[in-house]
Amino acid sequence: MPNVTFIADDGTETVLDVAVGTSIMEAAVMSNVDGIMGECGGSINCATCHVYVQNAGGFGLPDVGEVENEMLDATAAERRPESRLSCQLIMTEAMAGLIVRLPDAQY
Amino acid sequence: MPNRITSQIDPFSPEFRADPYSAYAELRSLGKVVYLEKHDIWCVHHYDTCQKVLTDYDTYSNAGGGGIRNYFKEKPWRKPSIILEVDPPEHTRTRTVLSRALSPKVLRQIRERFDADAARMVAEVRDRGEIEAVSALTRAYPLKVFPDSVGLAEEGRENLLIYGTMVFGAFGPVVPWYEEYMETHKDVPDWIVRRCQRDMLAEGGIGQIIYGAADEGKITEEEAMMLVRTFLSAGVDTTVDSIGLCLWALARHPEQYAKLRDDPTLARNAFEEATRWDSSSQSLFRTTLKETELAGQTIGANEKVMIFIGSAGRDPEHFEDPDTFDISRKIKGQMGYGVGIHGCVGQMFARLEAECFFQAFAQQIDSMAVTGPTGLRMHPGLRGLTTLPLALTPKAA
Ligand code: HEM
Ligand code: FES
Repeated sequence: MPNVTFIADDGTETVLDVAVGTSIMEAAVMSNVDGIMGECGGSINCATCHVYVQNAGGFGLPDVGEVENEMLDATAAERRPESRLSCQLIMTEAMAGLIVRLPDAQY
Repeated sequence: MPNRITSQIDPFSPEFRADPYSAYAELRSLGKVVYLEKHDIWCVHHYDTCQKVLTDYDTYSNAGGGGIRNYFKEKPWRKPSIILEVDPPEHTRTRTVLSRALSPKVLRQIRERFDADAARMVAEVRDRGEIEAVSALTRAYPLKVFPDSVGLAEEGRENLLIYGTMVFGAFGPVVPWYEEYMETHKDVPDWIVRRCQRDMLAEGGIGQIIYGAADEGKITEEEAMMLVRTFLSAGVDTTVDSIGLCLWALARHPEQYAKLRDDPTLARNAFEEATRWDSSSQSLFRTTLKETELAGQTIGANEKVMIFIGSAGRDPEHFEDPDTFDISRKIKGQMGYGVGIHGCVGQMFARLEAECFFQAFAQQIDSMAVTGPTGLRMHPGLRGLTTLPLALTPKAA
């Protein structure tokens, strides 16, 4: 399975194997990665799955959608160019090796 | 005879509605996809298949109608909802507007008022001994804070509940009481439309945020009115019923309530657990756009599929010990607000509203007991209580 690295605000790294077709949010929540809440279950409604993608190039990530863009304006931690909602990042083989940093707050 | 698992279970019967959970267990044991012969519809009732159907919008459409009636086969009985009963790309446009109107930023500003209203309303009943908790609290509180947030005038708010019954009553098959009800209250829909006009909504409320999207040209003035109206139908009964069911669950599990009383910050998780365990929204509908296969079962095009999200919350394949109500459970991905692109746009609002309520309640009430029979609503669209007699013991001052 392709893997994704999560780097928490305090520097803790977690590497997870993520099944293709699963969202990065789901994978993190199911494995108890602190710092990703995913309260709305991926309905682009809570912005508590906010991540900063550290190495976006070459992974074929989907473009930021309209609703996602709206929600990213309402995140608890500041929005940056590399901000994404991890519930909208659905795992593919091409995404192996993706690194996401977690913000200091999701609420 | 097509090859399929069938059942005579009728999800709209009084027996089913009185105890849906044993019917869900029976359905789950029959198989992943079951054909309900009484209504000629398919149903799913496991966590994984519910999730699959709700997220695969290319196959399972909302345009066939949010209730049992099939708009692909018969004329819609009223103008379809411009958010719930449309598919992408139309859906994305209206959904974006509502997402902004209810964004975490907006909610952060609302929180203080919820806290204050909840504390005041609980304080009003804390020393009364016995109360009827639905009228005194679980209906009164949402009926205050929700329309306040939207910016609706005070007068005539009980019409919101009548309107809710009209909307959610249309979820199931046509029944005589519903036709009568529509006739008795035939003036209410027009009253609602008048209240949803731009100049009737208070400044600073969610209603005006929606009209702001019309000013920006993202939606028309008419669509703004319709979205405000959708809010009023989708946001009142649902929260009334879910908060009521959560209070009932806590009252029947004194050891769980004791945890909340000792640590009121558990309020949000307690409501989340109640939304998994017993909540207002039990089932949803989708209609197939094409022939498809689901868990080995072929389903034809233009067929109705009923999705029992209330059963998904009790699926032992996803939740450990699912029939146990435990407010300190770590809840992962409960589906009480649906999931995917149509997943409840008001869910963060609902969570906040309930969190503030149960926090205020736990801060002031030491213990409670159910003192008499409760009444269940028998409307097809939602599950909820009509009465909940409760004896309250206040915390020592
Ligand atoms: C505890 C309370 C609530 C529950 C259990 C609930 C449940 C649901 C569910 C299950 C859906 C999905 C429908 C489907 O997929 O067919 C939904 C959609 C929706 N809800 Fe809620 N809801 C609640 C509160 C609210 C509130 C407070 C609002 C408004 C502020 C609201 C507005 C909506 C809207 C507009 C939709 C349609 C979204 C779309 O189609 O994109 N709901 N709700
Ligand atoms: S999980 Fe809620 S926005 Fe991603």
